[in-house]
Amino acid sequence: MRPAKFGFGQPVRRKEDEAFLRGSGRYVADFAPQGLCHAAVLRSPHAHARFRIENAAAARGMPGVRLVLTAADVAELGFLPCTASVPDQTIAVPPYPIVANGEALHVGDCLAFVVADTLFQAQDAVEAIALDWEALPCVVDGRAALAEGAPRVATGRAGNLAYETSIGDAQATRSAFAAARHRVSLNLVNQRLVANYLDTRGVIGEYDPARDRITLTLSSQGGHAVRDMLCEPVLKIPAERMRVITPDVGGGFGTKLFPYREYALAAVAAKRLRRPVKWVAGRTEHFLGDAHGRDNFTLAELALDEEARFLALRVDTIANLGAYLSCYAPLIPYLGAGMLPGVYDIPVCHVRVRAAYTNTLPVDAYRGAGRPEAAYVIERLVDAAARDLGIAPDRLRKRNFIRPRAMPYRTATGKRYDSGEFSAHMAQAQASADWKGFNKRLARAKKAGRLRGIGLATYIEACGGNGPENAKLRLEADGGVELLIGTQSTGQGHHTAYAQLVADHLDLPPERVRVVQGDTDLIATGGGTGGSSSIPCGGASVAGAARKLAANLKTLAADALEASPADLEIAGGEVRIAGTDRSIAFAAIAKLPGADAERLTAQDVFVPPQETFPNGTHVAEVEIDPDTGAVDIISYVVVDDFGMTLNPLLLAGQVHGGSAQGIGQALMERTVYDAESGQLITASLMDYALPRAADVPAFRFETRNVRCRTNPLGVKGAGEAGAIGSCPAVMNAIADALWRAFRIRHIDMPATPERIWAAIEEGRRVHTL
Amino acid sequence: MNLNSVVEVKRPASADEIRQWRDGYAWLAGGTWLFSEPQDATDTLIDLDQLHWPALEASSAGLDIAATCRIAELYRFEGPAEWIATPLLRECCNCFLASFKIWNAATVGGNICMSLPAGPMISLAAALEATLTLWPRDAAPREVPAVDFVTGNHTNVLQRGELLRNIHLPARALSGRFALRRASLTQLGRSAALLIGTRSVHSDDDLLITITATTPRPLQLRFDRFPSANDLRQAIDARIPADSYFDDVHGTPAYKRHLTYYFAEQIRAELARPAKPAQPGVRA
Repeated sequence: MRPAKFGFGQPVRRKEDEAFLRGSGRYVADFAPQGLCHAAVLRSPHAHARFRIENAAAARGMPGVRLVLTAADVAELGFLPCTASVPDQTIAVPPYPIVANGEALHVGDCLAFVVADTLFQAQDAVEAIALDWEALPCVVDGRAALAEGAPRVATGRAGNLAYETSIGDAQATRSAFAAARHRVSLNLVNQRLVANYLDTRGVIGEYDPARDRITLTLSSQGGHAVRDMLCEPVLKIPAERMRVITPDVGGGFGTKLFPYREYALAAVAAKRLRRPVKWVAGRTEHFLGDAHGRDNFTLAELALDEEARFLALRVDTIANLGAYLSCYAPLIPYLGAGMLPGVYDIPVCHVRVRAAYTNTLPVDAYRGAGRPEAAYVIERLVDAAARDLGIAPDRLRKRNFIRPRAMPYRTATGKRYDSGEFSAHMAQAQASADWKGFNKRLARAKKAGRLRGIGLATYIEACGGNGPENAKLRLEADGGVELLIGTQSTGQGHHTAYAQLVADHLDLPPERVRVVQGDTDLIATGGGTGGSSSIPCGGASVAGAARKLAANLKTLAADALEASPADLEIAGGEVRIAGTDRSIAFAAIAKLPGADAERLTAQDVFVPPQETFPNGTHVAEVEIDPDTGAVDIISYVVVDDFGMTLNPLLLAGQVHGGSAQGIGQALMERTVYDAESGQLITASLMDYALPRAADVPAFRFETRNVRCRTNPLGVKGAGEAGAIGSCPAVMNAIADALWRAFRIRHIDMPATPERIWAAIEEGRRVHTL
Repeated sequence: MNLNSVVEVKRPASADEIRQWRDGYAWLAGGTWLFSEPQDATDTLIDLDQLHWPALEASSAGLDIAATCRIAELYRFEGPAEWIATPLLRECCNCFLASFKIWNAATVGGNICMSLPAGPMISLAAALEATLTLWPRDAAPREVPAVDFVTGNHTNVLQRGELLRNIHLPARALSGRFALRRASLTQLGRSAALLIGTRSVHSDDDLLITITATTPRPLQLRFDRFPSANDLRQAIDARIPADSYFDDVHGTPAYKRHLTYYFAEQIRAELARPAKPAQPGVRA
C-alpha cells in the first residue's frame, strides 16, 4: 500500500508552517514561568589575561540581584566535556571550566553569571563588577600558534598543539609522488564562520525540590545528549534527576548539539534560588559565546600520471580549535580527512592533521563538520590540476571518478562507499546548466567588459550514520497517532517528513500524526539531530514502527471483523476487509476490549551500519565586474544523489538553505580577529557579512538518485550537502573567470570584491610585465 | 538593551529648558544606537520627542528636515516635480543596513550625529549641500555646511551639549541632477564606498562629487568647469592622500581608493551625458 497523496515521495507541504507563520511558534525566549529570574553573563574583554574579581560582594548587594556565580562559587562543578576522540590518539583534554578561574582564554570567556529579578538588574550587576586584569600575550591564528616562540594559549598547557595525527600510507604516497609525471599543489584557507541562527541560544532552569529534579528548557538539537553531558560530567548528578525540554528551535546548524556553560549555570542557579532562571543570548553574545565553525589552513598536493590519472593525494592541515576543546571539536578535522579523496579513485593518500589551540572561541560542528572542508580541498585541487595540465575540469574528473561497477568502494582513507554514479549526475548537471553553451555566453560577457566563469564541484560526503534512534508510535483514542522520537527539528520539517513515513503504513493525513520531540521525560532515548541522520536513521525507525503498528491494528481489527489479518488492508484511517465494505475505524480499534497500551503502541530502533554517502554536482556560473571585483552568480544548478526522495519540497529547502550558507562562505562571510589584541572585529551583523535573499541566486535543483544500500528507506542524508558542494563550485567558477582573463591561478574564500579586485590588479601587473 | 547607567529621562517641551549641560547628559532622538550598547558615561537622557519638530517642511527655499525626522518619513517624502533630486533621498535611505525597527525609529539627525564614515544621511546632506542648524546651550544658533560637520570617524563639530536642530536642503540642489554609486559586501549591507555626484540643471559646467565611506569623513570635489577624467583623478589625488582612506573590515585603503577613482569617474561620465533619469546605485 502506498498512499498517493501523503506518502513517501510526495510534495507534501510543511504542516509546521501555519503555526510559525501565525506567530504561534514557541521558542525558549517565549517561556516565562512564574517567579522567573533573569541571568546575564560577565564576559572577558581580553583575549588572554589573568583576572581577579574585586567586588563580587558589592554586585550581590545590588537591587534585585539574587545570585552571583564566579568560579569559586561553582568549584564543585566538573568541566564541560569533550566527548569526541580521534582514533589512535590520546588527547590531553585541557579543563573547560564552567566559569573561567583566574585566567580568561578568549574574548567572551565566561567570568561570572549574575541572576536578578529582572534582566536589567542582572546586566547592571554585570557592569558593576570590577576586575583586576593582567593582560597576557595572545595568538589567534592556527599557524601562528604552532610556530616556534608563539605565546602560550593557556598557562600550564604543554603547548598549543592539541594533537597531531595522520591517515593513509605516508611511504606509498611519497613513492607515488616521486614517480609521478605531474604534481599539483594548492594552499587553501577554509575560514572561520559563525552560525548565526535566527533563534539565539537560551535556557530556562527550574528546580523541583520535592523531587530534587532540574528541568532545563533550552534551544538544542537534541536534549538527551545535552542532558547526559551535563549531568554526570558537570553537575555530578544522575541523568534521571534532569529533564531537558526543547521547544521550537529556529536553526541549529550543528552548533546547538552540545552543552554550553550557561545551561549548567542556569541549573545551579535555579537549584540554589529555588526559582526559575532564564538566560537568552543577544546577537553579539552569539558571536562571543557560541562555538564557531571551520578555520583550517591546508596544503594539498595531487600526483598524476602521464594520462592525468590520479596517483596519490597528500594533504597537510592545521585546524584552529580555539581556546578550549569543545564537545566534538577534535573529531571534525579527522572526519574531514577521511573524506578527502572525494569521488575519485586515488590509490594512495596521506593526510596529516595538526590541531592548534588559539585564544579564540572554541570551534565545533557547523553544517557539514569536516566534510565541507574536505570537499573544498579536493574539488579546488582537481580544478587546479585541470588548469595546470590544460585539461577540461569535467574531463579530468570523468577520467578519475570511481566507477559505479567498483561499488562498494573503499577509499585510501578507509571509507566504504556503497553507491554512487558520479559521471551521470555530473553529465545531468552540465546539461541542465548548458555547459556546452558557455563559450557563447563568455563571448557576450567579454563584449560587455565582464569576466565570466563556470565551475563545478562533484562532491561526496559521509552522513546519516548517527544512531541508534528509537521511534515510538501510539494510536490515540481519536484514531490519530502520536509519534515520539528523539531527533530534534530545528526547522527542517521533521513533523511533515515523519508523517509521510507513517502515512505509508497507516494512510493517515499529516494532521492526524502528532510528532512529539524535545522532551527527555516523554521520550526515553534520542540521538538528536546532527550529521543529516534524522531521515536515514530516525526515518527508518519511524517507518519500522509504523509498519509494526499497522500489523498490530490489523490483528486487533481481525478479531473485531472476524477475518484473517492477511485479508485486511488499511486505508483512510480504518482497517477493512479487502474488496468489501466491512471496516473498522482506528478510533474504534482504540476502544476494543483487547486494545491495551501494548497493542496500540509500536516501537522500532534503527542502528545505521555505517554512514550514507550523498553525492552530487553543483555547477555555478558567475560574472565578475573587473573594475570593482563584484561577483554575480548568474546561474546555479544542483543535481544530487540522495538515494531516494522522501519529500521533494523539504529536500529542495535543505539544498537551497545549505547552498545559501556555502555561497555566504564563498563570497562574504569572514570572522576576523585582530592579531595583536585578539579582539573579535566582526562581532555583529554590521561587520560580519551574512548573505541575504538578494545575494543568493535562484537555484535549479534536480535529483539523480541511486538507492542507498545501507538503510531500509534507501535514502542518503540531505541536510548538509548544500553547504558542501556550493563553496568549491562557486570558487571554481570564480577561479575559472580569473584564469581565463588574467591567468590568476588562485583566490581564497571569501572571494570578496576587494580580494578579486586585488587579484585582478596583480594579474594585470603580471600581464603587463 | 536597557541603559543601566541612566537614572533620569527628561522630556522638555523646549530645548531651552536644558540650559545647563553637564557630563552624563545625552540627547535622545530615535535611540537606535544609544540603546544598542551600554552607555556607561550617560546617566540622563533628554528626550527630543516632546519638542514636536515637524519632520519635513518644503518651501520655495528648499526642504527643512528636522533632526528628529525618521528615516521612514524621509523615505516617503515626495517633492515638487522640479526637485528632480528627490529620488536621492530614497536612494540614501536604501543605503542603510536597516531593520524594520531602525527604519521606523532611527532619525536623520541621529545618523548624522553618529558621524560614521558610512552614514548615508551624512552622504545625502553633504551631497545636496545642506546647511545644518546647531543649537548651542549657551549661545545663539549657528549654521555649518553639512560637509564640514563630520570631522572624522565618530567625531564632529558639535560642542558640548550642542544640538543638531535642522538640515536644510536648498531648492537649488534639489533641482539638480545626481548620480550615486555604492559598494557593499552584501546588497543590503554597510557601505564600503558611497559617492554622489550632483550637477546643476542651469549650468553646463559645474560638478560636485561627494565622497563618503571610503574616507573617515565626507570630502567634496567642486568643479566650476566640468572636469575631464584626468582632472577628476588629479583632484582626488590632491585632496585625498593615499594613506587617508578609511581602513576597516569592509575594505582596505587601497581598495577604497580604487573605488573612489572608479565611482567618481562613473559619476562624471554619467553626468556628462545629457540629462536622463538617474541610474540606481550599483553594488560592488
